Parts: sequence; structure tokens; C-alpha cells
Amino acid sequence: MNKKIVVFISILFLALCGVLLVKKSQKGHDKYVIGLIQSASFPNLDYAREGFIAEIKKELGAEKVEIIVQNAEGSLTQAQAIASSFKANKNIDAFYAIATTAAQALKREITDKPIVFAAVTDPVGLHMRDKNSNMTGSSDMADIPKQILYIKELLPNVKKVALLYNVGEPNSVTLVKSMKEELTKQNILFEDDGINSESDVAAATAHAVVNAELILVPTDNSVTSAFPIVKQIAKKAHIPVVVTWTGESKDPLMQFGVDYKQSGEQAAQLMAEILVDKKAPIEIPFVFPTNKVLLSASELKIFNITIPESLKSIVTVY
Amino acid sequence: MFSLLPIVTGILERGFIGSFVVMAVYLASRIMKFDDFSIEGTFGLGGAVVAYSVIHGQNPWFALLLGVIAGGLSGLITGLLHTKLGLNRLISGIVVTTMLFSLSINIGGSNVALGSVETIFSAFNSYSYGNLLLLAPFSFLVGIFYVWYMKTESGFVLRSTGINEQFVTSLGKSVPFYIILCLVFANSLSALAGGIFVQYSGFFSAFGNVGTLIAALAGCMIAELFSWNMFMTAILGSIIYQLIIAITIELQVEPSWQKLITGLLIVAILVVKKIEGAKKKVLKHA
Repeated sequence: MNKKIVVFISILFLALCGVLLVKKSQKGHDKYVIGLIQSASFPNLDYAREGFIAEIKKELGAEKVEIIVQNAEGSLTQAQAIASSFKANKNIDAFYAIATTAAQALKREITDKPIVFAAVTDPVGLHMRDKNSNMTGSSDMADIPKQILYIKELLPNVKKVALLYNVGEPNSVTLVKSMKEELTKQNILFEDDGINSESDVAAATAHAVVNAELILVPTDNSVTSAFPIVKQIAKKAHIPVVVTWTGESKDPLMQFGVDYKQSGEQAAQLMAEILVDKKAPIEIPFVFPTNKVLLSASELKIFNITIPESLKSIVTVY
Repeated sequence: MFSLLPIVTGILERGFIGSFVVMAVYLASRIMKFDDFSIEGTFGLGGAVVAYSVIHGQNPWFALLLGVIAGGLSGLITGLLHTKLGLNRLISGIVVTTMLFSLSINIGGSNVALGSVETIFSAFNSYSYGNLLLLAPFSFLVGIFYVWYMKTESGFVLRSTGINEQFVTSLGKSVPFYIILCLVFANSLSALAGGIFVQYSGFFSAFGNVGTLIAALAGCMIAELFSWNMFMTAILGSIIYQLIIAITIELQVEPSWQKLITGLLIVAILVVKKIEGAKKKVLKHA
């Protein structure tokens, strides 16, 4: 047997044991320990994390919560490794998963403790609410029929809409499918401007502004990250942009949908129900954050739009 | 109960699955000296094909076979791009991986959950270490197959192609054939790992293959530190890599630094090798 191998593996193994032992001794009593796993670093997901942490500290008391924050940075193996580390940590009382892949990785490993998720668009379709499921949370599914209706009322002359999204993101694909159905109902034409990564965003936007009168973006992490370039190209071409998230500082005409900070806060409230009131996750229906409609005053002016009476009570102009 | 056991089980499980990709990298990069980027793409393709097949009611083992065939075909294309069209090795791999992304997403969808369909692990669920019971023999069997294969005539020529193409030509064998054969082997192994990973994790994600190649490369370099048969140490290397990742997770290293750590690990191994090489030289001269 090769001596080097034995020594090498033993050192690594002892290191692992050492770390685990040190962590074990750190456990504070009468504290809630929450394992937090985030799929990747995107602005919206960061909001969902910050909202959760702030709210859970408010709900349970800042000194009574300990949160172990992990981020898979887009890697599935990493997510899986974090999940099995969480599973091994007997101190953890409950889990918080941000975005689909994180929730899926936890789902496989953790079956005996509650999991609360946020930023998962289609929890039912992904088998997260099956019988005896230990999961609940807040979905980031936006109310698309309403969104399309508002667009129609605000911009009655738009004949063709460009859908700008990453074809690889499950949340976008789900929303775009429903957008297409609603647009067809309203007799508005559409074209797909699908991208595969952030580096395609500029080219897809350039294509969109030539072929359509409005750019519509679903809740898409890649486009969110590269949004400044979308806005820049659209501005030059004098084409309005509608996005399906809120909190965008780069001034699209309309921001519609889910406030991710709020979505994180809701998840924290559900978590409190589970931990304090001892409710089973399956008894708690998953929630949808309320959809906000924000219109940019400067954009309204640029496109010379007056808000119709029917929308005045619904929208917020900023 | 000390919480080490589930962590170790997890490390071993992911290590065994990853070992197929490490073998793939070893076949392509080391034996054939062909740094094949398409290994990353076929991991995703294998997963997509398997996800699609099991959801549509295929037997999970048959699904895995389909995935492996799809992976092999992609390897064939990478090989043809290089040998027939003269495309640079690295570029052929990148081109194929790019194309495979579209294929995977159309076959598997951007994200799909397997739900409660039968997988290769279903039969082993009743045992407490069922996954390992399946994965460990599986990866050793595949390793042993390649150990055996490399000793056959065909395997001998394949190894020679990576070292000295003229020698192979002088034997009257076709160099392009052996390059392609090697890539077919490598990519079907990667697709196999992708297919197993989907059944293991219970879902397919179009971005699931990102980072596979670099992880396997790290595993391969760790494996090379040991002087055994590479196909056997590939398994060990993959497990040790997962062990290191588990340590960084337990240490709660700021996650955004984890990729840097993987890179530094590779650099560290290179340094160790360099020092060892220098030592040996000194010994020889003494």
C-alpha cells in the first residue's frame, strides 16, 4: 500500500473531523439554527436572502437565531455537497432555500426537517408540494394575465412584443409560456429573443429593438444582471421596456411583479410559523408575494404616455 | 451521534459519480494529450437524455445506456471536427459543448424534476447505504474494464497514439481512428456520470454541468500524485477532491471564494509535483 496515500487521506480526514468537532462545541443552547442555501449570486436572490435574514431576526429575536449561510455559486455538485453537509448538522432546526436548484438539492437530502423556499416559480410542477412534503415557501410566480392586461391598457398601439429571456432558466421559461398565451389572447404578436448567457444579452436586445415595439423581460437572473445594457440599447432605439421584477434602478417604463425582498420576508414569516407554532410545512400553503406595478415618471414623459383612468389606482409612479 | 457519517457518505457518493468524469479527463487529456472541452457538454447531455427517458417511462438502466450512446456520438463529432476539418483541439471541444447546450435544453428542458419515477437507485433504497452499494462496484467495474482494455492490442495502440503518432502510422494503424475512439470513450464516460447524477439528485438543470470539467481536472491531478494504475486512482482522486470541497463547506469559507480555492488546489498540486521531481533528480545524481 502506498504510504503517501494513507498519510494524505488521513490528514484531510482529520481536518474534516477537527472542523466538525470545533463546530459542534460552538452550539449555543435555546437558539434556532437555520441552514440557508442560495443557488447563485444574482441581485434578486441576494434581496431574497437579505429580506429573510432581517425578517427572521425580527420574528424570533436577533439573539435567538443563528443562520448558516451557504451559496452554491451556480454549481449543482456544490449545492449537493452543501445539502449533505446540512443533513449531517444535527443542530439545524430548519432550512431556507433560495431559488429552484437550491431547493431541489435540499429536497433530496432533507426529508425529516422543514424546508422553506423562496424564488421558486413552479413548486407544484417540481414536486415540492407532493403528499407529506416537508416544504413550503413563497413562489415568485408573477400574475402574468394582469401584467399583459396593464401593458395593453397603457400601450394600446403596441402590435409586437419581444420576449427577452434566458432559455436555460426554469423561472423564465415558465413565465414566458404564460406570457405567450396571454399575448395571443390579446392579439398581440410576439417574438422570442432567447439568450444562453449574459454575454448574449446585448445582441438579443439589438435584435429585439429592430423587430418589436416593446421589450418584455420575465423574472430572469441573467437579464437582471445585464439589465443596464438592455436599457441602454432600448433607449437609443426609443423602445420601452417592461420588466417582471421590482427594485430596478435603471428605469424601465414598467416594473411589474415580485418584490424579492418581500418574498424573503414572507418566507421568514412562514419559517416562524413552523418553528414557533410547530405547524407542519404541508399544512401551510405556499404564498405568492403581492404584485406591484411601478411606472417611471421620466419614461412616461419620454414616450409621451398618459396613464388611463382604469390604471390610476393600481400603479405607483416614481 | 457524531455527525460525520452522513458527510462521509455524501463525499463517497459524489466522489464515485465524479470518478467517471475524472477517468474521461485522464483518457482525453493524459492518454491522448487532447484537452477535450466537450466533456463538460456531454455531462449535461447525458443528464438531459436520461431525464427525458426516465420521465417518459423508460427503464432507468436503458435510459443510462441511451445517455452513454448520446455522449459517445458527441465525442465522435468532436473527433471528426478535429481530424477531418482540422479544427484546433480545444476549439472543437468548445464548439461541441456550445452546440450541446442547445440540445440538452431541448431534450431535458431548462429544469425538470424526476418526481417519483423509478431510478437505478430505487432498488437499493431499502438498504441504509444503498447508493454506495450501487455506485462503488459500478465505478470499480468501469475502472477495471479500462485497466483491462489498455492491455489489449487496441488499447496499446490507443496509448501509443498519444505518445508517438508516427509510430502508430508505421504500424499501419489509423491515427484519426484512435483519436476519435478515445474521445468516444471519454465522452460516453462523462455522459454516464451526468446520467447517474440526474438520477441521484432527482432533477436535471441545464446549467448543471457548469464546473464539471475543472472539478474533474482537479480530481485527475490529485490522482496523479499516487503511483498506481490511473483508472483506479481516478476514483480515489475524485473522492479526495470531494473531501476537500466538504472541508471548505464545513469551514464556511465565503462561498464566492470557493472557485479560487479549486484553482489554488491545482496550483498547489503542481508545486508539490515539481518539488518531488526535483528531489528525484537529486537522488539520481547522488
